[in-house]
Amino acid sequence: MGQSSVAVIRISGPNSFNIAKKLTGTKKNRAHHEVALLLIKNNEGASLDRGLFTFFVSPNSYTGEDIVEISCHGNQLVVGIIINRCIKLGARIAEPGEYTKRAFLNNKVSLSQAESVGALISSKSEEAIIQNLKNIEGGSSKTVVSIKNSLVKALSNIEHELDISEYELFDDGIVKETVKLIENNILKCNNLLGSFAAGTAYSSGFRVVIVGRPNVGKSTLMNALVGINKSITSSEPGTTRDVVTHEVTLGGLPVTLLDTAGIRETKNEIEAEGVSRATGEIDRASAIMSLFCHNIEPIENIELTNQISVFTKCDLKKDKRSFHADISVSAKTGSGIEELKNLIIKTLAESVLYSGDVFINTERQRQSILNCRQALLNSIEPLKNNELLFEITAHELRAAIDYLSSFLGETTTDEILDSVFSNFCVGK
Amino acid sequence: MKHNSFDIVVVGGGHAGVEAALIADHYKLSVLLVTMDPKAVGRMSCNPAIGGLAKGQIVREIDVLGGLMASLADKAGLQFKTLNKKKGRAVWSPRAQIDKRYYEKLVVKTLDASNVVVLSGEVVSLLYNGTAIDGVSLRDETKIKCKSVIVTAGTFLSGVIHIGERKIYAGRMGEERSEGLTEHLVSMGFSAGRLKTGTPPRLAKKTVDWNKMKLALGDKDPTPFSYSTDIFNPPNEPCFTTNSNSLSHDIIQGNLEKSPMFSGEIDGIGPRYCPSIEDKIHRFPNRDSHVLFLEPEWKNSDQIYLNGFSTSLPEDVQLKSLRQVPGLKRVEFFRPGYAIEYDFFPPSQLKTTLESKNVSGLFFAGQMNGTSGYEEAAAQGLIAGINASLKIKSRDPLVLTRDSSYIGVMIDDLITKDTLEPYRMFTSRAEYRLLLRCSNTIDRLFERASHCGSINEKSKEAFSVIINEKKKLIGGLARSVKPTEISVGKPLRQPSPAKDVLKRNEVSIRDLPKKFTEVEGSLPTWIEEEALYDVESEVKYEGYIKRSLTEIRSIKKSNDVPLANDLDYSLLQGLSSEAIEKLSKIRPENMGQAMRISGVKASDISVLMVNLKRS
Repeated sequence: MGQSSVAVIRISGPNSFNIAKKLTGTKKNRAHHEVALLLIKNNEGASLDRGLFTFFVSPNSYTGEDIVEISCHGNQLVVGIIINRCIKLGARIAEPGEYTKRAFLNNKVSLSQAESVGALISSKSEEAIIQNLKNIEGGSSKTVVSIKNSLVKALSNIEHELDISEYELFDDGIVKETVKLIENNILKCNNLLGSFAAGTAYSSGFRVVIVGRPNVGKSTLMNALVGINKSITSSEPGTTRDVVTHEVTLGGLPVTLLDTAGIRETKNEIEAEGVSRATGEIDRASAIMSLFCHNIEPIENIELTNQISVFTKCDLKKDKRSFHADISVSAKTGSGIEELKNLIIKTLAESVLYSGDVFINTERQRQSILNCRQALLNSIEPLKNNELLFEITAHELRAAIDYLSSFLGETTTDEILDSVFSNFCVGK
Repeated sequence: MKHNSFDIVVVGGGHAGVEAALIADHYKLSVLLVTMDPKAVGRMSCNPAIGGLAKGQIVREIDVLGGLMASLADKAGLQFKTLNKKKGRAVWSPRAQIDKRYYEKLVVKTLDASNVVVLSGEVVSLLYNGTAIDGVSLRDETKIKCKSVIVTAGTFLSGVIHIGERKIYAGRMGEERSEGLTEHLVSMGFSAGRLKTGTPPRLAKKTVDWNKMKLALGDKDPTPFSYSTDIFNPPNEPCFTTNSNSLSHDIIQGNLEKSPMFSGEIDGIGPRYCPSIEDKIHRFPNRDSHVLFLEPEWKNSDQIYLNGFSTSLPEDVQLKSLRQVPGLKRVEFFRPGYAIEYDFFPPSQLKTTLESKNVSGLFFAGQMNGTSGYEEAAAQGLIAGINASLKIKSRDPLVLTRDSSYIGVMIDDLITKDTLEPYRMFTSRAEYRLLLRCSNTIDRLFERASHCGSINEKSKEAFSVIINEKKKLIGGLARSVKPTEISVGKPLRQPSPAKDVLKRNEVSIRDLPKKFTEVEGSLPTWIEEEALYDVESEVKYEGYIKRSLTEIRSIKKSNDVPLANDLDYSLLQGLSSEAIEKLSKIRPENMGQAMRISGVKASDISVLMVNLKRS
């Protein structure tokens, strides 16, 4: 949900008019295409906002069901409260693509129309369209197909040992060749995973994550970069317990800054959740700013890609440890902030200069490759340990191949109907 | 023949026909088995062995479902060996060298002791009232009324033997072929095709230099196939091995074009099929040697079966090539290797019950469905026999799913995949291989067998005892092991559940204190050992098993979506033309089958699902 002056909340289904009645405390039955300016009330009857209600009577609506559209103020807080109120009154958040799916099931659109709606929604920018086309016409699919074929070869080697040779002796050469083949494909998976950051930048912008131990000044730095007081800052460690994001444009690049919770061992449940989200964000980041200062060490034991090492609070004390940093800043005085912005731009620009021209660019694709890589690592384990549990190797190889099939959209499971529509934006 | 009306007529007396007839007899139905040669029932026309990789599992499944093959193999076995012991827990496969002559005798004896009527004759057409089968007609024009017909014609339908360029019309070497039934079935609307399969040469024992051969014995501690076998003391008759070499390969390579069986480059993904020697040499050019097994055809046999050298090359080429092999310098044949070409009926015309989709009461089983192997044939005969019987009794059919058994995998493959060459079972065909262990056959199939009534009370009781003992063993593993009670691997720091200890790589179930491996009931030693090993496998493979079960649950949903037999696929908007053709031809029974049809793509399935949800 982004900021805008007007937000539209849409409720579809047989109960939607009832929910609108309760939401506004009105009893009047509505006609098709009726438009009314009504007060939106909370459960105690107090007004929250004024909204423009438009009513569509089944079957003459987008989904073919009764629909109420509420245009209200774009304030995120207000919108959130209204949505929560609707949920309390019996509505639920739509699944991705559910509106179009309902429209399809109610014979309002054909499958190909449904698909083009999905394509339209998901292509955010011209570059993304071009990149997607490249992927469809070859690119990542081609690479994945080649990995898959090579794994099929590895699997058939193993199956041969299991199925054909009725002889207890096995062919040592085949085992070695197979291990090599699998290891080679693990590298290819790594390469594809490395392209993710660059790939996503095209479709959803760059993600720059701020990490560091509690109270090193992550939120303060974020505020300085953004120019507003978005994160709650205080000297109490662990103040930021969720990932706070802000979208900015740096040197023309769309950048999402993410302020993570202080990474530390914690017994506080909410904070622990924040910490685990932080680690998740680190995996997906295009670049990471790792913060430390005169009395707080940088975090360790986490593999950071495109790391920018930032020495903070340089106005307080600037000791020689700052030499280990890429840059020293003070959010308080503003010193180093502009230089940091330039460094971020430079790092991001370099990250897009990823050597291969094949990208994976959706979270789904990344998960498939990640799972595939894990299965491959599992598959060679028994062979390397000289345990000849070929059936386990085969089992893992099959799993790896299945993950690639799911990447390529070849899987046929019963969730297909849902998947046809799930790439759509929520609510369309 | 006293009367000319039966419940079931079985056409053919091979491994499929015999299982079908005997199980129908078990259901107390009147059964007639029509065969061209009553002396040849249950004949093992090719290798003198039963079981082997993936096939051994099928034999066990046949046993648990109430079939015959396992217990006869135990009686006629010459040496027993469990294959693939080092390659995993699920792929262990029992195999036995069999005295072919004795096996045949046992089949005849079993049929004699049953109520099955065996008739010498040739079925040439079926009596069909337009919707269902109501009898058969023999070559001598005898008409026999019945409620169901199970056709198990093997390789006899229009059989042609090939030895190089020589052709002989026969159903098996030395036995007449069957003519006319194919044409009749085609006139009823069935489509038929041709397949080829081969058999290796039979060597004269005295012409082999046995000193140059390597000895290959069976297991010292053999285990039987059948859970009902109580007396089991098989001899450990030796087999021998030798290796082909590049000299022998060169001769074959130079004569490839003379082999009618040579299938050339098989497209697809790899060495999955059991090929003729000419195929092996062509497909694995890097291997300069293949193992050849010399196996006795019966006890004290003067005739030796050369396993691994199936071929249809001309006799002189076979001899020339083999005489290059160590120990075979002066070898002579009793009979050369040959290929046989025969009619088969693409099994996509059948339902999972093996009944025809179009003609009620007509079942096909065995090699005429495009399979190869005694075990595959017997299993189909058993399933067809059970289902024909259940149908007559108006009871629910027995349908085996892919996750239940190799038999389930085979039948599903047969009805959804194109048959381009004889179908042989492999463990790699089973996506849930880790679940389909020889050691858990009872756990997988007991309930189904018991529900459909294909097993007797004695087996039911014996199987329940085994299942209960295993449950107790697994339950017992929740108890703790003290650090002092275990001496293998890293020492325990504190008492831990036995299950967790057993999960460690280096710990086997026998390393646990005795109380964890004690079986209360009195089970035969081998069954007790198997139960313990299987419990150990369940624990060690728990993670894999769980993953497979999750997958099965998600796929089950689509298997539960039925597709009407008269669904007009051409009316469904968005289906690819290949999918329309395939789906209209095969007419899958449910969505799960539709997904597995070759040529039907994920996008076609989406369209199908979407259209179903919409209607």
